Amino acid sequence: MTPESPSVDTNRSSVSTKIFLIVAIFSLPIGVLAYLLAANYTPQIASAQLELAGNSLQKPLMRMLYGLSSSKNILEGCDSGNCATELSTPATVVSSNLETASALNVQVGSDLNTSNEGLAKKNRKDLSFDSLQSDWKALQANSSKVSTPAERAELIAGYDRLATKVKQLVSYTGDSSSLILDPDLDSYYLVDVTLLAMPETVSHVANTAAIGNRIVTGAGSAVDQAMLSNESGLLEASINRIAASNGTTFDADAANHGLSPTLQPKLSAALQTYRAAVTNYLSTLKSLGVNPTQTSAATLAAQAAGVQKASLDYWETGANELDTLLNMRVSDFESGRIQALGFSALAVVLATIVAFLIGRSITKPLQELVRNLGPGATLLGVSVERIAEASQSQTPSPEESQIICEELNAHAENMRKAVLELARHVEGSAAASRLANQDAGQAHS
Amino acid sequence: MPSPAYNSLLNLVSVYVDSKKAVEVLTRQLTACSLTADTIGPADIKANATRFATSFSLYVADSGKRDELKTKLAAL
Repeated sequence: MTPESPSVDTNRSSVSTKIFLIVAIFSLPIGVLAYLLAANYTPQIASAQLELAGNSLQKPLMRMLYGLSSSKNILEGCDSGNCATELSTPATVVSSNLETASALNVQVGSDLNTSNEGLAKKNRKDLSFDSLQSDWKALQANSSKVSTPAERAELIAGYDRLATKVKQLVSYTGDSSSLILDPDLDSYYLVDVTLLAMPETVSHVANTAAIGNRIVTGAGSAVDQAMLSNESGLLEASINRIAASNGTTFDADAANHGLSPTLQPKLSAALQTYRAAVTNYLSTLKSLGVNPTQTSAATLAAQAAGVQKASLDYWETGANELDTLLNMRVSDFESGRIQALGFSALAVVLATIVAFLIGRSITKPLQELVRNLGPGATLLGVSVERIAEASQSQTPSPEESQIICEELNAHAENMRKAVLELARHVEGSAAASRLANQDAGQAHS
Repeated sequence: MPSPAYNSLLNLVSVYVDSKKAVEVLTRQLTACSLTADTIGPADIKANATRFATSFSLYVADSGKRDELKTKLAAL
């Protein structure tokens, strides 16, 4: 390839093609910017969708956790030794939610690394759904065989172990779905409640219920009193933290992908109910330190169950509102991506239209000049031929000479107009006026 | 509306001369003869055949084609 080749190719292109190439070159950065903008939105959308998947898997896991906690409380307060009837309701909750979570895990497990392979890679095979199923089946089988306090204690320990596994899986899912690294302030503080604070609260309520049961039945010790005081303090701190996190969520909501219409009304109402139940329960727990016989085991168990129920309702509301916030974020990013691509396309279309109009204004006088130059060259050639013939003729035709002069004059006038028009386009109106004045001056002289 | 004679004359010369240039030249020649596209008839063409042939042939480079144009114009 010779060095002249590119310039030869460019020189062969028409003016319209060259203008089109200029537009295409300037449109290229717009296209690249549009691609980068769209590419920037895509991982953010994917991240929000992963968080949605994580939140969806957390729902059945948390219901399971509440079911296990209720079962443990029932076992703690079960005097008869055989608690199979009372355990059937929470057992149904645990079984159905374990099934739901396992089915959901088939769909989202590969994304969240909660499949058997994913968990094995992270050295958390003990948290696999197969392992949870097996543990749960063993617990159910043992629940009907409880006849001695030792067997009951062993069964309670089994429920504790499974609850701990479920809590760990909740935490693991929070990490693998990036919920823990949520980038928006409103949803971050909601995740703080649903992922971190509430699973701990379930344990605090279960522990206070177990210790309180020992105290009211006379089996409690001074250590139990101290533990109850400690767990009650943690529960109180937890509800305060939850309320503070909710406050931040509400304050930051409008500034992060728009205001959710349901967030504050629904979550405030659920928090109020939950807080009232906790306050009432904490007051009962405090009274146990003063007069343990004042409260019956049944009343304490009923209050603990009420707190767990309000806690679960609040958690469900929070998780659903988190879904709403994440969906709003996805919609916002998707519309942002469409807008970025749309405006870029519009910019390219507008640039093309303007370039077409400018191109036409450039090529039109050139075409006019070309249209005059072609026939003009023939006219001049033939006229010279005729004039030469006429000069040698004995009888030159005055009419023919007149017609030749008329056509030459007309051609000269056309050329002048075309050149002036071209000058106006190439050098501007002032240059064209100057040229026109020069022409007029020459014609006058 | 241009007369049929005008159209046939224009169709004939457009074969030899660029159609835009043909209209331009014809308009100029009709003005010189005090005629218009609407009023020109076959008799006018015959009467001004030499003028038309001379003017249009100035825009035909090939002498053979020029003669052919002149013949066809005379026969129109």
